[in-house]
Amino acid sequence: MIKVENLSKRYSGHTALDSVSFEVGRGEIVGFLGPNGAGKTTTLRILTNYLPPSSGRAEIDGLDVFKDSLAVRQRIGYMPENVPLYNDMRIKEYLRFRGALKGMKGRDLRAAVGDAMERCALHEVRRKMIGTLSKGFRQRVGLADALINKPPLLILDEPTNGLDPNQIREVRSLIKELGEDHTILISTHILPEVEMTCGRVIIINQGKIQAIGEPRNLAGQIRSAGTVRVELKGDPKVIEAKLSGLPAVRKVSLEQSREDWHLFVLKVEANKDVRERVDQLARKEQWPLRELSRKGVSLEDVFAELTLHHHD
Amino acid sequence: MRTFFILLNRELKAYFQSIVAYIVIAAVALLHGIIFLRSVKELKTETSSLHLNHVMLLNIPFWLIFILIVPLITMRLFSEEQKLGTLEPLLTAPVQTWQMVFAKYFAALIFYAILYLPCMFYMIYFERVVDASAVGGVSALRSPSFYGGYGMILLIGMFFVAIGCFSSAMTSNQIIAAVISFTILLIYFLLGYVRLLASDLPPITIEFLEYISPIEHVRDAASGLVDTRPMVYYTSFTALTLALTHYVLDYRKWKV
Repeated sequence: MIKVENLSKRYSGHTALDSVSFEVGRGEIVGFLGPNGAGKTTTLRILTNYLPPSSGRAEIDGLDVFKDSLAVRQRIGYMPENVPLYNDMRIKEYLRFRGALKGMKGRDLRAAVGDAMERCALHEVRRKMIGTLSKGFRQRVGLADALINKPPLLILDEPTNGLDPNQIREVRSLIKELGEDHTILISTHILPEVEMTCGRVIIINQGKIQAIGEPRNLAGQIRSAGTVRVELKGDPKVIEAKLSGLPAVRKVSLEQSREDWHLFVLKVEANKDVRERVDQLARKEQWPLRELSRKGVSLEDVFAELTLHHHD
Repeated sequence: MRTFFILLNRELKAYFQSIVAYIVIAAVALLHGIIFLRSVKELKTETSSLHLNHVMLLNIPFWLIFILIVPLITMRLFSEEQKLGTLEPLLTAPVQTWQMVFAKYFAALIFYAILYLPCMFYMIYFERVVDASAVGGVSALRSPSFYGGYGMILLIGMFFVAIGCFSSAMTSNQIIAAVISFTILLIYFLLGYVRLLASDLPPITIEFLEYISPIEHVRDAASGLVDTRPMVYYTSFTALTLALTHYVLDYRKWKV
């Protein structure tokens, strides 16, 4: 559905995208993940024909984004970051306007507007001025606009940005629902969102792709920096020193102390399990132990590892 | 073409669904009414061979309204879209930049034309209540001065509105857009007074500047002279200014 080859975008002075290539298949929900300023929005803007790339090419549904720009735009439902809308229009009026722009008319248009409002739960507020809407409703209007002409591809730039937890859950389930008959590319810097909704993740940082894969597999690849949590009773300084002396332990940090109990987090080398050693040590030193666990690597760790490793 | 009309419809609604539009129309009608009365009084005290319409169109306050109102009409057009970021959804829909530029331009031009209807109406109404010989002996509806004068006002308006669009495309701040277009229009208007303001310029320069000045064109047209030169001049400069507007809006696409 989407095919991107060696896409680069240079602004005077800095490179926003550096030779990015990826593909998204029909029917996939793909998360586009990266810290702020990583180049997510730039990539999406190139795909939607808002910005030209400095070099490289992008194809959507087999059509070159720049040569067949109108045909490509017909096939994309795009929701830009922060959902810019006309404040002086009413919701229904706006959706009719957008539907008409995307080439619908007459009965089809009326049905499509009704449908989109239904899907995004906008019926009750359809006569409201957009300027008076809350952030959550604006987001829904943006989504309704993106899917109004039932485009095969939806591109959503941070769809849950600025929503409260309930609204986030609603949008997420809506995205999942839409995933049944659309290809979706969503950009976000919120990790649980990707873990819950996306079949595949593209991680991007400083204009370069750092990893592509299923969330689970990505976690597997980076078992390298596994962590072990251990809660012990005793003198924290002594404990810290002794734990640091264990083989394969890279870093020990005291997470929290409550009464006499101290919770330590150990960073452990690749594919090593130090829990047995920790247990032996605790017995030998006669430190009471009430927690010893190895934390499964989450997408959050992958993300941190890939995007922060220069600082660590 | 369909896209153009959808956009035009939206732009016209944006004008006429706001109370501000009616306030502006009423205010301009009132000011034009005052100027009209002044012109009538002028003809009452002085003998002149000029048509009443001619006297009205060459009034300085009439021109001040002209160069003040165009920036007000056009300042919103592109600045607001840039400020709200709504250009992005608009131009990522199957809409071409020129369709958007034309839609906004024509919406503004239509609004501008409506502003001048009351003043044409004053002229026609005046004739109904007074003896036609008082307005130069010729009925306005049959007078070349009437059609020529307002035709030229529309022609110059085309160019001025295009300048307004261009200024609005340059910035996301409406006030700055208005200031830019007002400045350009004021300077352009003052070209007609170059003989008074800068009499030490070489005569050839003065003649040239007067030749392109709008007040000169209106003077000719209002005395019933049909000249194709200003028509070509204003249409081509309108086209050029709109092309520049298009270029400015698509600038993000050119700086690769």
